[in-house]
Amino acid sequence: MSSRADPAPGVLPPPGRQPSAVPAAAPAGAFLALVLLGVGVVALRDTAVALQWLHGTPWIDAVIDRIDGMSFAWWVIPAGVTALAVGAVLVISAVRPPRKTALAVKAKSSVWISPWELAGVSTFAANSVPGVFDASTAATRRKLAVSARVADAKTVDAKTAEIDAAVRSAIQFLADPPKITVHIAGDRTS
Amino acid sequence: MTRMATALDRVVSLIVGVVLVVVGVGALTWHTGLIHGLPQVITAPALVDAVDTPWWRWAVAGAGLVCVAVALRWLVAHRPMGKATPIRLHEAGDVGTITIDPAAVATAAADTLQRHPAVRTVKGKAIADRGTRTIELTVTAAHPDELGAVITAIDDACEHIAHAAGDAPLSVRAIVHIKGGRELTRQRLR
Repeated sequence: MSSRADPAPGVLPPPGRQPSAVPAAAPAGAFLALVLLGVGVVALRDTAVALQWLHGTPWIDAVIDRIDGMSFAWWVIPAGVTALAVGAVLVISAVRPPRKTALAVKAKSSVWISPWELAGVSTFAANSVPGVFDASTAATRRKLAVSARVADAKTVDAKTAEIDAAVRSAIQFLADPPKITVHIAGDRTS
Repeated sequence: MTRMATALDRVVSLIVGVVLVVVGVGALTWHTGLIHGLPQVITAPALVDAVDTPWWRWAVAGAGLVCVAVALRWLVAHRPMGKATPIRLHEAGDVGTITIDPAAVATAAADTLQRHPAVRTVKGKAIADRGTRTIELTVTAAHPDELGAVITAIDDACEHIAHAAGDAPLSVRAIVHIKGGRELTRQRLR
């Protein structure tokens, strides 16, 4: 019989969701909200002008007057290009899924690690191989690209294999390890 | 951001984006004759007539107020992830209500993890992640070699959280960091 202080082994809370970046549509949405706010402010300003609380002419009326009877002019081309570009950006940001920012760790619960932290683990492992120095790692969720230098140019093939094995061992805590590539930058010249 | 705000961003961005693409294509092909039926002159007689009606000012004022209100609410919806609200557990027949404070659970879990020798620092917070109450533990391992021990400690902490929260809908997610982080990528070992 377990006491109140002892949790039941193996019983875990629901796993939290995978960390992800802000959706691409969020900045677009904020931009459109600001545009809408601007339109609203202009409408209220025109109302104030109509009620003679402010001096001036209504801008919305002027725009409608300008549009009515408008024919082709040179500026329609750059305006069209701009509309096409902004529209394409908005459509892409609307359909683009949020970017995942972490890799799953092999654990009973929901544990994650970011690619750049993984790069640190990988570099640490590569630098731990005897005769290897100045290692660095470029990491994404799918690929670890390790670059290093070796003390003896004759050992490049052997050290490449050793670095690969060391990094593979160091990241075995991942549920789905990324692909590893090792590049030996050059031999020590001093 | 809430799921509703994300969905709104996507839908509005898509609609406005498609409209801008159509307008852009129309503007670029207006004078080329590629699309038959495009008018030589744009007219808006209904709008021009409406501007002279007595209700126009009030329509503009109403639209302005609605635009400002909707835009401000939309902008507020873009604030970062909110805090998880307390969970109230009450079933039919219960004589009382139990309230679980996710923030307190997060703090207790972080305090427990902090005592583990392989853990350097821990931050615990309770967030509303895409509509799910989630405890997020940000755990920094003292050394890359200690990652295995840290992951085991996180699993143990999650079991404690499950024990404390019972059937409450409270997810848990841990994000692992390593002391030094990116600096490890430049660290040179002897």
